[in-house]
Amino acid sequence: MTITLKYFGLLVDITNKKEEQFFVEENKASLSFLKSKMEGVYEELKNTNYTIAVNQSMSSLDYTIKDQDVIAFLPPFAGG
Amino acid sequence: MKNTTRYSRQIALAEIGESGQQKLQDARVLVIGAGGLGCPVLQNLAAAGVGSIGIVDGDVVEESNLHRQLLYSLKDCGKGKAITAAEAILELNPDVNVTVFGEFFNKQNAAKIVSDYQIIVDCTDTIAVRYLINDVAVAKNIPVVYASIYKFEGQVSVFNYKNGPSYRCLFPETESLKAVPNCVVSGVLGVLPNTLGRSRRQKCLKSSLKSERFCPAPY
Repeated sequence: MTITLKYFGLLVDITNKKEEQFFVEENKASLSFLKSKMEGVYEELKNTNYTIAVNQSMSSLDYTIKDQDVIAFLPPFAGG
Repeated sequence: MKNTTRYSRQIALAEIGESGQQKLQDARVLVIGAGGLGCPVLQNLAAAGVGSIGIVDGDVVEESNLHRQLLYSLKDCGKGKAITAAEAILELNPDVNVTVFGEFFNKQNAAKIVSDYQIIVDCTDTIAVRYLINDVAVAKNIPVVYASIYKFEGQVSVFNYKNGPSYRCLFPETESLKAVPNCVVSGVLGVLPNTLGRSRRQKCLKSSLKSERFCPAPY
């Protein structure tokens, strides 16, 4: 299945992209699995605080990913 | 109700009316941080007739603030932000009661400062203070209108509203693994905090009006 990943804030600097299409080979994959996978692709994510939203709603890490999901990686912002 | 002429255009909105304007006049809003986000929030809350506004900031105005913090001018450099912002909004609307806290929000003064307010607007620029605001707001059951900036992006939300999620629900990690840069480090265009500040003014007024129709989304 193919999903869209969106990155915000500091995560854009880490991944060098705002968005990418990602192919998940597994038939059944959780958000937790995806998080680990992306932290393997972009190792600096391991050292960064962020939360994950699926299709514009906050989601728990045990959510099962579906084809065409739009998954956003959201770090806290500090600027004021 | 004070000066209905000033507010006549918003009173004309059926969703506000005279009763809504009275609610705004009775509202007590605490704005923590009088910088890039705080300035437009303060300006708009005062203009809308929010009756009591508290301003917390221990910082002083610097020239590097002036491209986005539009309550201040060159002659204000070196002056305390809280008192200078208070003078500016009182000039805009002398009917507003303004309380100045010319100090940084910290563990020692947090509970005392928030105790007299119904809504907190978080306009700070450090993550640690953001968690402190969250924690004291949860303890005192006060909603928090939040915004923050990173370069060209912004986050806006309302936390702790009618037992809704808090900032810690969104970002449970207390210790930042990687330092989160503020505007000093990452830079900022003046238009972004002003846009976000005005968006938050909208959320703040909706919360003040306490109308179900205006109930803000938790995220």
